[in-house]
Amino acid sequence: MPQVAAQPPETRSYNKALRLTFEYEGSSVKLVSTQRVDMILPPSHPLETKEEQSGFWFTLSDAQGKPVYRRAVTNPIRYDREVFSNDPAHPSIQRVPVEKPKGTFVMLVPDVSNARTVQLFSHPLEPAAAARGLPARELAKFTITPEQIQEGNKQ
Amino acid sequence: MSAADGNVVGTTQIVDHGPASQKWNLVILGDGYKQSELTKFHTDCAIFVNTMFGTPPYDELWCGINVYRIDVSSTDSGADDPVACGGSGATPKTYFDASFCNGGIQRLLEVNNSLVHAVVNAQMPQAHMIMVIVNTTEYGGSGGDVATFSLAAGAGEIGLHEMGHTAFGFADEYESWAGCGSGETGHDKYTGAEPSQPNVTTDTNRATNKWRDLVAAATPMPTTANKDCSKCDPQGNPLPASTVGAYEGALYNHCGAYRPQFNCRMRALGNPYCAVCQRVIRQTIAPYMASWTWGTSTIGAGQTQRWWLSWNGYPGLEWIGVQPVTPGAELDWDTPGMQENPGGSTLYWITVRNKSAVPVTFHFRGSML
Repeated sequence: MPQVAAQPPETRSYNKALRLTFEYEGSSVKLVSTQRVDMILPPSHPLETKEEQSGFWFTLSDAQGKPVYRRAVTNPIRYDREVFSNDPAHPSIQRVPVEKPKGTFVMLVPDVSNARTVQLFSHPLEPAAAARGLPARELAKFTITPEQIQEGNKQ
Repeated sequence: MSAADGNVVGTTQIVDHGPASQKWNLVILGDGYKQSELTKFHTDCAIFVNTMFGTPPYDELWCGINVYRIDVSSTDSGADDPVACGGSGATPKTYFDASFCNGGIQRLLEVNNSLVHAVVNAQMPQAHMIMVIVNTTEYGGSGGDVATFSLAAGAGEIGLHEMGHTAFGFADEYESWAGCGSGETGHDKYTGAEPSQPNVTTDTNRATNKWRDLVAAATPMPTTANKDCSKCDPQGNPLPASTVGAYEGALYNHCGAYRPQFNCRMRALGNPYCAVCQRVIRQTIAPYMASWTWGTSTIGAGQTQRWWLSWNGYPGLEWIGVQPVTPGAELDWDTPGMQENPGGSTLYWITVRNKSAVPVTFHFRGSML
């Protein structure tokens, strides 16, 4: 009997999460808080890609460096911003550069006891380079220690 | 103009489909509402929630969604509106410091997103998506990790577009960076790697394109081509609006990057999400539904196959089964077993038999206890 040996990773659903809050200034990213929360996470995207890709994604890996969760998301490190016009003659969306990129963003990863390494991957952040679609590379890597984890709200 | 200029009053669940631990949670905050205006904020939230409920596919996924409102009072009403951008010069004291004219752009309405995250982390850390409504009728908004928009007519569309980015990872489907007609350079043709986002691609091959299953055999691939890559494609849609294909012009480039439909909310506000975006939204919110499509597969003619399905909970599911995608197709299946795994997850196995003479594509379906 033909069998598929394991379920596709994207069908797995996690119901315990770590809420990771990052701050960035330019391409420098810091993990500033880690909260444990009871919540269902969206399914993982495929853990590996067949080819190089542009864009932004994050992975959670286990102690052996094997990815257990990956999500491709819109780049939260903003080197440009969207501007919306409601001019009825020229309704449009365009982008403008950010002079000093700085801000805060959140990532949600599964709370898996043996998986505590989070990597952020991004194409080059400058808008001109981003529009060219250069392949994403590791931007930052963090190891979450038990001491960092705070208990968040649970329902 | 900071957290000293108001108070976090509290959090209220305004759409309740179950515990936050089980649902997809949207959190809405307000800025520039005085304590005496919080009732107005409640109404403004309700208006946006109704708009969202009327927006496919959120309407069909509504049972998987909770909405929470965090009441935050400000000392003053409104948002900063600098004279430098032609504004009134108002500088109200508000909790999240909402302001137009960021980067010298009048319509760019932003808040202190670090402070927004701090409040959400304290009040509702189970948030999947965060929005801020600013108490001003002047048109404006912005995206990023926190979607921000005003009360102007149509500004709620900014929230829906930004939710596409933040919650579902959609790329922009518009084909210019600085605007069509801006004379921009460096955006003639996308020559880079395949984008990771689900709604743009460089691949026009119908055998490998990532949304190929939605492309009809009669639809040309690519579906449109831009004849002059030095500018945005001026041609109209040559096919019915619902046609899925590969339309050239997306991801800030006039050529070389393709979008699934001629129009989409990720290309221009006021349009529905395209079929590809809607599918991703459904897939993302599926685990929060009482019943959902778990995954999709195909079984060959005359074949019997077994699949393992893992659910991170025990007991997790009341029922699992399969549903052919093609109306009229038939499959037999049984679920001979399940086991609880260490850590509280459940492993099911399901055997599917296709007695017909053609391959059958089907959904795995599940429903929760």
